[in-house]
Parts: sequence; C-alpha cells; structure tokens
Amino acid sequence: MSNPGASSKITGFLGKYKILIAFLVLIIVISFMTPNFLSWRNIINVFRQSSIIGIMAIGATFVIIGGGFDISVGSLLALTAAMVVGLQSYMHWFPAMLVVLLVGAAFGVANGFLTSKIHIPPIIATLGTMTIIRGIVYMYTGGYPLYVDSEGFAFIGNGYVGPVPFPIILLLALVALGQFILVRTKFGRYSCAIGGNKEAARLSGVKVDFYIIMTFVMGGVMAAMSGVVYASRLLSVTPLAGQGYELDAIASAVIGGTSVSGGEGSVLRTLIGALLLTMITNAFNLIGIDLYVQYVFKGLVILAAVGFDSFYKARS
Amino acid sequence: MPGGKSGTRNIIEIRNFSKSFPGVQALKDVSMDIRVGEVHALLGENGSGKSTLTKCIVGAYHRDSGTMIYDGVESSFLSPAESFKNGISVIYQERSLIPKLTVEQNVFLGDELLSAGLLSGKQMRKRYTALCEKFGFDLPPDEKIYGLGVAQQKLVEIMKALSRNSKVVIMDEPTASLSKQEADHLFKIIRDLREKEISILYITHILEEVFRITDRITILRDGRKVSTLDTAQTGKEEIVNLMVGEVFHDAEYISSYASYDRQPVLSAKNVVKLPRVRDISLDIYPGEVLGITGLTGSGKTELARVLFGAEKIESGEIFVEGRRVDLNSPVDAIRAGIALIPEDRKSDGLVLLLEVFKNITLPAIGEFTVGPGLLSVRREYVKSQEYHKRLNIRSASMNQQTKYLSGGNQQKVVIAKWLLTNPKLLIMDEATQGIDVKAKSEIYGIVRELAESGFSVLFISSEVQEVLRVSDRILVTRDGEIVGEFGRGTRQDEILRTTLGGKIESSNRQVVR
Repeated sequence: MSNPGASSKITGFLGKYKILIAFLVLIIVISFMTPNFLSWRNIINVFRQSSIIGIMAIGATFVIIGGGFDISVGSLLALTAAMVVGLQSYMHWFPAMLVVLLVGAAFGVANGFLTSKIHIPPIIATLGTMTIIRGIVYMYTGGYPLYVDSEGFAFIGNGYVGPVPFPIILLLALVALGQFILVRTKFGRYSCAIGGNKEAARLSGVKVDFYIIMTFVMGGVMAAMSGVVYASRLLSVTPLAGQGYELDAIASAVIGGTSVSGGEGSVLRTLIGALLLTMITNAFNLIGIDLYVQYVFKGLVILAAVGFDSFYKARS
Repeated sequence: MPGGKSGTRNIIEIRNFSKSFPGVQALKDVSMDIRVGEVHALLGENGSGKSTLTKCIVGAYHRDSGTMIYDGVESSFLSPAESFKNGISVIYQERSLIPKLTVEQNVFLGDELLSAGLLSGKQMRKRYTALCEKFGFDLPPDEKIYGLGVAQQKLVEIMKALSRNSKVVIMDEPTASLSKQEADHLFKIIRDLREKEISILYITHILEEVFRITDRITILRDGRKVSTLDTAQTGKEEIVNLMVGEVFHDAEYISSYASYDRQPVLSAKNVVKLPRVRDISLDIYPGEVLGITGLTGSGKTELARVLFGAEKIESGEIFVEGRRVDLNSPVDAIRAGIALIPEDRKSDGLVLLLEVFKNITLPAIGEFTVGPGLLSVRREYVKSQEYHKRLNIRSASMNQQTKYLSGGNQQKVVIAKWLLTNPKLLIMDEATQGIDVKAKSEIYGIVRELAESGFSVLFISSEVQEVLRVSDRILVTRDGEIVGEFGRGTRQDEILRTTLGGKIESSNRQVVR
C-alpha cells in the first residue's frame, strides 16, 4: 500500500518537474556556449517570439486535456489575422478584434460539434475544417497580402509597457487566466474529468458533449487571439500565415507534459514548453547551426518528451 | 461411463495448486485430472476459484505452488500464448477475434502459412478446408467476423484452437449469449470433438448443460476442490448442495429499517430494454435494502443502468416517489435523486487520473461554486475530508491520484461521491467485486448504516451470500425477468436454486446424448 504511494510520489515529482529541469539544464548549457544568451535583450526576444505560439498553445492545452486534438488553429490564425486587418477598413480595431474572437469561437463550436456529436475523430474533423478555413482565407484575401496602418492596433504586437514588450505581458496574462480556468473553474475540472474518463464523467452527470465543445471553443478563441497578435506584430497578413503553427502549439503542450490521451496537463507547463521550443531555435541561431539541423533537433525533443511519458505509462 | 471414448489416460494432472492474491487465498491445494477425450465440467459459485484455476493452468497467472503434468510431462506455462502453442486453448466469454478480418484470417492469425516469405492463400485454404471436413464445420472462410452471429463466432474460436492441434479446449460459459438452437449446435460440435479425443474443460452455471454433455464434474468452493463426480451417477440436488456447502446462517442479523407502509421511493412497471431486460417490475421502499441476485447475464447490470438513465428503456414506466419520470440520461436520474455505483469502477466509476477529492466532488460540483463556475477548492476539500473520514478511506492524502488506491478504497471513493449528492436511492452493482474481505465487510456496514439513516439501496450482486447478508428483501432475476422474491433469513441454497433455473427434480439422471 505505502510502496506504490511512495514511488508514485517520486515519479509524480519527476513527471511534474522534468520539463522544468530540462529547461534549466538547457539554459545552463546554452549560456555557457553563447555568452549573449542570458542578456536581457535576448531573453526578451525569446519571450516575444514565443508569444504567438504560446497563446495558441494555451487553447491546445485545453483541447488535448479534454481528449481532443485541433490542427485547424494554424489556418484559424491566418483567417482571424486577415479579418482583423481587413475589418479595419470598416471599423475601429477594437470591435474588429472582438469580431474575430467570435469567429474563433464559432469555428471552435464547429470543431467540437463534429467530434462530440457527429463522432468524427478529432484529428480528422479538424483536418477538414483546417482545409476549409484555409480556403476561406484565400477567398477573403483574394490571394494577396493585406496591410494595415494603425498605431493603436500596432501596440498589441509592438508596444512596450516600461521595458517589457506588450505581447509578453499579454502572453503571461493569458497563461495566468488559462491556468486559473483550468484549476479553479467547473469547466476546467470537467475538462480533466472528461479527458481522463469520458464514461465515468457521463455517469457522474457531466454534460460531456457540451464541455468537449467548450474545450474547442477555448482552442478557437486562443487561436484568434494569436491571430490578432500576429497581424499587429507584422501589420500585414499573407494567405499562407500560420502554416505549421498548430504543430508547434501541440508540441508546446505535450513537451509541457500534457497527456496526449487527455486528462492531465497544465497551462503553466505548456508555457515552459513553448519557451523551450523557441529557445532551441534561438540558441541554434546564436551558435550558427543550420536551420535544417534545427528541425531534426526539435523533432527529437518532441519525441523525447512524449516518449518518456508514454513508455513509463505503458510499463506501470 | 456412458458412450464416448473417454479412457482413463489423463491429459492433464493438476496437483496441489495454490494461489493467493493480497488479502485473498483464491486457490487452496486444488488437485484434479482431465482425461483424454472427456468433457469435464468445472462448477462453483462466483468467486469459488474457477477462473483462477484456469488462468493458472494456461499461465495467465503464476501459481504459488503445485505441479501440473500435461500429456505425460511436467509443465509450467509462462503465458497463455505458450500453452496455446502447446495445445491448451481457452475460449473466453468475451470474444477475442478481430472483427474486420475474415474467418480464415482469424483462424490462422499468428500462425499464417507462408511460401517464399509471403502469405500463401492457397495453402491456408487447403488447410482450412481440411479442418472443416475433419471436424464437420461449415463456415464461409471469406466472411468477415462482424458479419457473423455470436454462435458462429464461437465456432470460429473453436476452429482457431483446433488449427493448432489443441488437445485441451477450455470453454468459459460458451452458451452465455447463444440461443437454444445455437447451443444445441455447439453441443453437437463438442461431442464430435470428444470423439476425436479432444478434452474439454467446460465452465458453466447452467446445470442442464452439465447433465447434457459432460462426463465428469469437479466442484470448487471457496478456492478448494469439494469433489469430482461422474455425471451419470449424480443429480442436481447433490451438486447444488456441494456448491453451496454449509448453509450460511445469518449470524449478523440486523434490524430492518424499511418502511413498507410508505410510498415506494422508486417503482418500475414492466420495464423493457432488450435483449437483457425483458419485463421487470419492482418497488423499493424508504429505508429498504433491496437485494437483486441472479446469474451473470440475467439482466441485473442492465436493469441498474436503465434505472439510472445510462440507457433508455424501450417500454414501461418508472416512478420516483409516485411521480412518473423520464430518465433519458444520468443527469435526469441524478436530479431525481438516484445514484449508481457501476459494476466496473475503473472504467465507469472513477476518473483514475484525478485526485481523490476531485473524484468525490465530481457529481455535486455545483455545490462548491462561488460565483459563476468558479470553484472553492477549499470547501471541496473540507467536504470530501468529511466523507473520507466517515467511510474510512485509506489514502496517503486527499491529493493522491485515485489510481494508486486499493480496490476497496477506490470503491469507497465511488460511494463517497454519490453520498455527497444526497440521493434517495443508491444503486450498487457488484459493489464488492475484486476487493478484499475487510473492505467488503466495511461496505456491508456502510449499506446497513445508509438504510438506518433512511436511504434506500438497491444492492445488486451475483454472490447470493452477500445479498442475503445485507438485504431486507431479495429478488432473483433470470433471463431478464424477476423469477423469485424472498424475505430475509431465506436459506442460501433455496435462492441459488432459483438463480440456476426452474424447479429441480431430485435425482435427475437422464443424460441426453
């Protein structure tokens, strides 16, 4: 009785903090190799580069915890970024932003509906919507880049509060909000319960389908938010924007220890996962290693993070 | 020995098998022989050790002590795969075929015939046809499994066993989901197998089958072998007595808290949910523990699920405190004051990844919100601590993941989570399955306490003894209907007889061939 308890405590500790340990080890190693790495400018740089993927990854964390997957968020970033730029011809940037957040929520409802009510496996359902949304992006933009010039809007992606860039503040605020929702609200608790055991949750009186849809809504809204930051940062959007971002977002969540089979995860650790991914790119750039090698290394990091987890789970 | 070729040579000799699990001695010093070409029945109540014994034979469990001589050689199989290769196969109750493959592909799965490293369809078809001819099977080889009926699927499993030249086939309740005609066909095949000197260990609850097709009978009780008998020289009466053993005297007779003069908490009228619930009506009164027992597959679990709204009824009516209710989902049932402790706590009762207190508060989480959807974890913690203590749940802390708890403590977490919703009626389906003796008696205690404080409990179990121990009144289900009602203090064998089926004429010796 006490034995499994004790060993679970140890593996639980390692499981919870292994991402943090890996993160710290990597920082130390890289900082020895590149003196510029720990400079204020570079740290700020890493955080800012993480902000778009990081925000998207908050949503991905909820979807994966609830037992789903969402690969449409990269396309959704492109659509919402294009729309928040395009709509500014008709309205102020603020209502435009609210509109695209609603668009994100609407596609979240669609994704959730397709998986929970129509029972399409989540990856396939969002593969379908991913393709549809990308098509809509092309139709909306006519295939050309869109540009915007608004000082107020530019602040979201480029402004500073004191010495800190605004996108970083936004990222940290949304991570805090996401973590709060996950651990302190009924929605967060139900997400874990459904991802952990859908049937037990149903028999406990949880409206399973509704809450699955809500996790996808969270994913859609966060993708839209990352689209807003993206558009504001570049002040332009091409129809190809955000391709492959969904994979980095999912990678951040799973590197951060979100269980691929659902039920477990933390938004805080997802943030660390996102920072880790960016840091690898950053460090490789500083050291001057080829971009192609970076892909290989990033892939290995993802496999190592998930492999460690899956292997020990299968053994126990 | 009437008919058959069963000689006296033994194919399997089991000597002094013992096996214990934490808190339970599942097998105690069991010895038995299986002869070449005999059909040998293995009988016993639930929990008597039948499945542990078969698992020890094929190596799914490793016995603590004892030896086995198989085909003249002392053998210990390390896994069912190894024993299968050596000629002992098991046909489980659950089907173990791959639905999207064809009959032939399933038969040769894991043992495909090759030529030049590629699958040889021709060779396999040849061998398949030979197999069919030898044992009189007639199954279309290219049919996919999902297109077959349950009975045909059973035959495919038998064919698969025979294709490896099995000498012993263990069948675990093979007729459980078969119609009468399908069962007859199976019996014919079994007789053919016996003619071909294949031995069959036949596990069942249904005594009629035992007298129809078996040559000898071994009876287990509480992990010990009681006796081995020649089928032709015994009768149902004797077998039931041997299975039940000493009649359980209700030593812990407790006073009843049931108020039969009041309106029933729940009434079911002619409830139907095919195939397992055919026509069930019952009333449960305030403060009553109503026991329901019956064989596996007699409709108990399905009844529980229907009364909880986990499945919709096809016809009939359900009343809660006199008001008619439509139970379309568990949400409706919970609102009506009904709670279900499901048969399989790991897959249906708990979210094993979640901490203990989060499981406890899951159904009643609405009571711990401050503001819209916002949880007060502190209040959750305090409340679940209260139930944690009251039910004597042993866990390292309330923050421990539920998967690390023992079976008994996990079950108490399930009970706690439903008590928190303050239900009028608690349905418990096989609530003591797979938990140790101490936790069992604690759960009996909890059930009686609940009754004392005015709750009603529907206590469903296939163990007659425990139903007798906690219930004020007992209903017996068979084939989806209620076939008997008993008061407390009824003799165990009387109830067991009802579960087994019909009136049992004594000294029934006719053996149908």
